[in-house]
Amino acid sequence: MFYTLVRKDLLLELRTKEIIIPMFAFGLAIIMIFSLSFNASQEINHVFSPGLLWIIILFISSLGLNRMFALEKEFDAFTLTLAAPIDRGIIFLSKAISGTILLLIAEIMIIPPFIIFMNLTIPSDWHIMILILLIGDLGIMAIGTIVSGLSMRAKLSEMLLPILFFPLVSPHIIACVKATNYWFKGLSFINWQAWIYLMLSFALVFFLLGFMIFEYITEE
Amino acid sequence: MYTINNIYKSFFHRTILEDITFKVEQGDMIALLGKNGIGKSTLLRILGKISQPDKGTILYNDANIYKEKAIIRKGILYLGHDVGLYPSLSALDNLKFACSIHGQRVKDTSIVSTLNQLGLSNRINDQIKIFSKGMLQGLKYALADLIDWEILFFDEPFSSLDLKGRKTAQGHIDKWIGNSKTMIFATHDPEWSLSYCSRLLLLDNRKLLFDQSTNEIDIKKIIKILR
Repeated sequence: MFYTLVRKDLLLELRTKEIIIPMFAFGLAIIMIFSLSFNASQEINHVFSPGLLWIIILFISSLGLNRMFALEKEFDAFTLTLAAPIDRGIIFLSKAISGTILLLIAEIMIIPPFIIFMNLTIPSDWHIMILILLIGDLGIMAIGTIVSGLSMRAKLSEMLLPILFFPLVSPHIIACVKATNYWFKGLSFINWQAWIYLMLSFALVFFLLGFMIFEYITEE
Repeated sequence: MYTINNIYKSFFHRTILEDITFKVEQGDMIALLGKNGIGKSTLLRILGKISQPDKGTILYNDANIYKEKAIIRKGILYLGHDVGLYPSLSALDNLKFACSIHGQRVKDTSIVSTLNQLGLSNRINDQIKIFSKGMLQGLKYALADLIDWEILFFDEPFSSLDLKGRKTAQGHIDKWIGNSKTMIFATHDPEWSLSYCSRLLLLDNRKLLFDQSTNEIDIKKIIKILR
């Protein structure tokens, strides 16, 4: 059932292209603004870029979450899933995982221009950054799916989402920025692994929380 | 089969449903009547577990649908007033997905054949957002044909259908009656309700005004209440 739900979300994106392309376009626009307005040396860019990268990821994830749940509201389509004999926790997991997949795809498209425009030199152990991105995205989407589920039936859901989402996700984003910063500086993993564990804890706590409370979140 | 006990529901401190209690037996075909905004759709949404009651219990085959695992709701099909399908997916994708989340694997040929009966087989791969309202209503009948349900909650079964569509829809309902299926329809049509349904529930002023067999009901009385 989980696979069916994830497949449906990905199929919806394949048909509409309403999530990844706006995320990419928005992300690219922010990169351009950052790059042109700062016009800083490579050293300064190196200091600020972890924070800038996660701000971009935060903004595009908010946009993606908004669209993902808007697609469920059209034609009252979400009732089809809600009325089916599926535990709401599974619905939450599928939404959070499909959101993570879509966010990862958007990041794959955004990170190369970010590196080019910010004039960055990437450390050779880039696979660690993939791990940071993956755990970071899982946490963002777990929190984002809970908040989107809460706000989707509200009148001003587009406004409510960032108002609730940004404060809740900020400790996780700070951990993501710290981890990215230490990786960027080329410090040994052992010196900053605590940040990864903190990110993992956030993701795990919010996945469990979402799994348990999505039943109540989605009720009318 | 379905036991509804003391259901209460309010929105923004306004009570919509108060102390709704009735039982649904196997093979019952029930019409749920009432004026606009009286709570028919809300009651169907509660029965389909889309909406949660403030108080009361709903038992399906003696299991509480709000407390037990979701799998006990297998066999319940809810078709709401809105389309309840994904506008950006094709008719085929929507029906395949709907069947699969109801635990059924359906072959594409079965879907084509069902859509053919409803005159929609040539639009199978079109995104349903370009369908007319009548065609979208037809998709609900296709869904009800493909899923092996035990009890159906259908809000406004003839909404947006032209004469031909209504005849086809009635053909489906007749088939379900022939198979002794259990159904609850929210409708505004007392004549149709008395002709086809075995029981009639009338909602008025937040409460279930009466629950009677259609053989015992005087249509004039119903129309007077509905005015």
